[in-house]
Amino acid sequence: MVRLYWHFRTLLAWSLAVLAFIAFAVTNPAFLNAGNIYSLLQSFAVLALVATGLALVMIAGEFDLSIAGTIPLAALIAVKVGETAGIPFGVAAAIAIAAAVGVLNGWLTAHYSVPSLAVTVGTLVLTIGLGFAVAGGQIVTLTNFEPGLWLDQAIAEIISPRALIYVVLVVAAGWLMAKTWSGVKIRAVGSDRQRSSASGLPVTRVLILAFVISGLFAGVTGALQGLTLASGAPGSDEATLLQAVTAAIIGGVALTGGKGSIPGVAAGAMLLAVVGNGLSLQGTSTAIIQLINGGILLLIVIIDRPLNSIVNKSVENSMSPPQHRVPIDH
Amino acid sequence: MNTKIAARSTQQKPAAPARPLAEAIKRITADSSAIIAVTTALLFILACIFVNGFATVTNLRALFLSVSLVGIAAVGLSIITIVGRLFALSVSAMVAVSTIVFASLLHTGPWTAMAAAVLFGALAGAVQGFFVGRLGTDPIVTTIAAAAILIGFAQIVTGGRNVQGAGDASVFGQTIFGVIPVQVLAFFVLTVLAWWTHRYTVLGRRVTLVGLNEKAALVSGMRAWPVVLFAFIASGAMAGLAGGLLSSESGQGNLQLGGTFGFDAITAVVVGGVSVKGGTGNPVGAATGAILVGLLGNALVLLGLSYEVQLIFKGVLVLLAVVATGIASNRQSGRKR
Repeated sequence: MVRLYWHFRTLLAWSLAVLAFIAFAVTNPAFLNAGNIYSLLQSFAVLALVATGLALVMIAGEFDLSIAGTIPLAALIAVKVGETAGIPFGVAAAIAIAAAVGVLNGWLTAHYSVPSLAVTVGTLVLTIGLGFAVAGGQIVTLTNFEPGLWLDQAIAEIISPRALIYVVLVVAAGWLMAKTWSGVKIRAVGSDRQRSSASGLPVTRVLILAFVISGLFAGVTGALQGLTLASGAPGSDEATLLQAVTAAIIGGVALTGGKGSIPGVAAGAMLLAVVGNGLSLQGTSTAIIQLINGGILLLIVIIDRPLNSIVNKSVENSMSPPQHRVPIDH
Repeated sequence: MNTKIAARSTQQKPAAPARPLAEAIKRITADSSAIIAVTTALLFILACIFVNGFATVTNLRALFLSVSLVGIAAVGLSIITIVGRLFALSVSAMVAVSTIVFASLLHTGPWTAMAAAVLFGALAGAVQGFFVGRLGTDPIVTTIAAAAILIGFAQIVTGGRNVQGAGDASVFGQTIFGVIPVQVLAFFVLTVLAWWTHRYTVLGRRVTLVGLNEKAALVSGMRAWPVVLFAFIASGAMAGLAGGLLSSESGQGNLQLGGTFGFDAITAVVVGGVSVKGGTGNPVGAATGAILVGLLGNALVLLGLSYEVQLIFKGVLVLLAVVATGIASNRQSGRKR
C-alpha cells in the first residue's frame, strides 16, 4: 500500500508534468519549436541534477542549504583555475571543493548530531565568503570560450552535451537509490536513525555519502555553468535552491526523511521546467514565475500532510495482525 | 526526549550546594548563552586594548548602529527557534518588503508608516505561523515559499524599481540624549522586553515548553499551535520594524535592502547559543550573538581585513557555535540516560 502510494506520487508528478506540457503545446505553437524544447531541456537538466542531490540528503532525513553557495563558488573556481591552469584542472578543483563542503556538512551533522540546517547555514556563509575571496572584488572571466560552446551545442537540435551529462548523473543517482545497498542505507537512516544505528548501519558514513553527492551535483552544476557563461560572480543562488526544494517535494520526497524516489524528483523538475518555460514564452515576468513556484510549494506542503496521514491510516488498518514493535534499550 | 522536562526541573533545584562558587561556575559553563556573553565581553575588552581606533565614541556608535537592526530581527527570529520551529528563511524578504511598505506610506507621516511596516510584518508572520502551527507544515519549506511569494508580489507591485518615500523620516534618525540613536534604543528596549516575556510571563514559559517537548505540552493540556502562531507574529513584527527603521535611514525602499539580514539573523541566533533543537537559549543570547558578530566584523575591518575574510570568519563562527551547542546538548542528554 505504501509502495503503491509512492508510486502513485511519482505517477501523479509525471502526469502533471505531461499535462502541463500538452497544455502549453496546444495553446502556444512556438512551444514545440526545437529551439524552445532545447531551452526547456537545458533548464530541466540543471534543476533535476540539483534537486536530485538535495533529494538524497532529504531522504536521509537532513537538509542542505549550502548548495545555494556551492553552485556560484564552483563556477568561480572552475573559471578562475581554468583560466590559469587549464579547463580540466578548473573543473576538477571546483568539483573537489564542492565535495569537500559535502564532507564537512555530513561529518559535522553526523558526528556532533546537530541539525544539518544549522550546519549548512554555516557552510553557506562560508562558501559565499570563499566565493568573494576567490573573486577578489573583480569580475572573473574565461577567455577560452571553446569548452563552453562545445558543452552547449545542440545535439539533434534539442539537447546539449551539458544537459546529457546532468541527466546521466541523475540516472546514476536513481540507480544508486533503487538498486544498491547504499540506497537502502540512505533510506533506512532517513526513516529511523536510532534503529539504523542500533542495527549496525554506519550512520555517519551514510550521511556523509548523501551530503557529498549533494555537494558534488551542485559542484558539477556550478562548474559547467561557469564554463558555458565563461564568467563567474560571487554570491548565493537562492532561486535554484527554491526550485530544487520545490521539485523534490513535488516528487514526493518527505521532509521527515525516508521517503521519495529519484524518478519522482525528475518529474518535479520537469513540471517546474515546463511551467517556467511555458510561462516565460508567453511573456510572463520572472517575478510571477517565482511567485507561482512559491505558491506550488506552499500548496504541496499543505496537501502533503493530510494525504500522508490518510495513507498511514490505511496502512495501519491493512496490517493484520498488528505488529508490536520491540523497544530498543539505549 | 520525554525525560527532558523532568530532568530539567530536577536540575533546577539542587539540594543546597555544598560549594556555591563551584556550583555557580558549573551552572554558567552549562549555559551556552552565558559563555557567549563572557566571550563577547572579553573580545570587547581585548578590542579596546589592542585595536587602534576601536574604543572611540564614534566607532562604538557606528558598531551599535550596524548591529541594532540585525539584532532586532535576530531577537524576533530567536522566538521561532526557541519554540522549536528551526528558522524562518523569510526574514530577508520580510525586511525588504517592509522597507517598501514604509517608503510608500511615508507621505502619511513617519509614525503611521512605521506602524504599517510593523503591521505588515506581523501579518506576513501570522500567515506563516498559521501554516506552520495549525496546518503543521515544515517551517523551512513554508518560509522559503513565503519568501518567494513576498518577493514576487513586491516585484510586481514596484516593477523592481526603487521606491522613494515622500516625507520626513528624521524622527527615527535622531539620537536620544545626544548619544543613543533611536535604532539602538529600540534594539535594547525590544531585547529587554523579549527577555522579560521569555523569563517571567506564562506566554514565555509556554514558548519554552513547546520548544522543549511538544508532547508534554499537549499532555498538560496546552495546544502548541497558538504559541507557534504567536512566535511567528512576534518575529514578523520585529522583522517589519527592522525593515521600517532600515528604510527610515534613507527614506527609500527596495528589494535589495536588507538582503543579508536573513543569514545575519540566523548567525546571531546560532552564535547566541539558542539551540536549534528548541527550548533552550533565550532572546538575550540572540542579541548578544548579533553584538558579537558585529563586534568581530568591526574589529576585523579596523585591523584592515577585507569583506570576504569577514564572511569566511562568520561562517567558521557559525560552525563552531553549532558544534559547541551540539557537544553541550549531547553531554546533557548523555548524563540523563
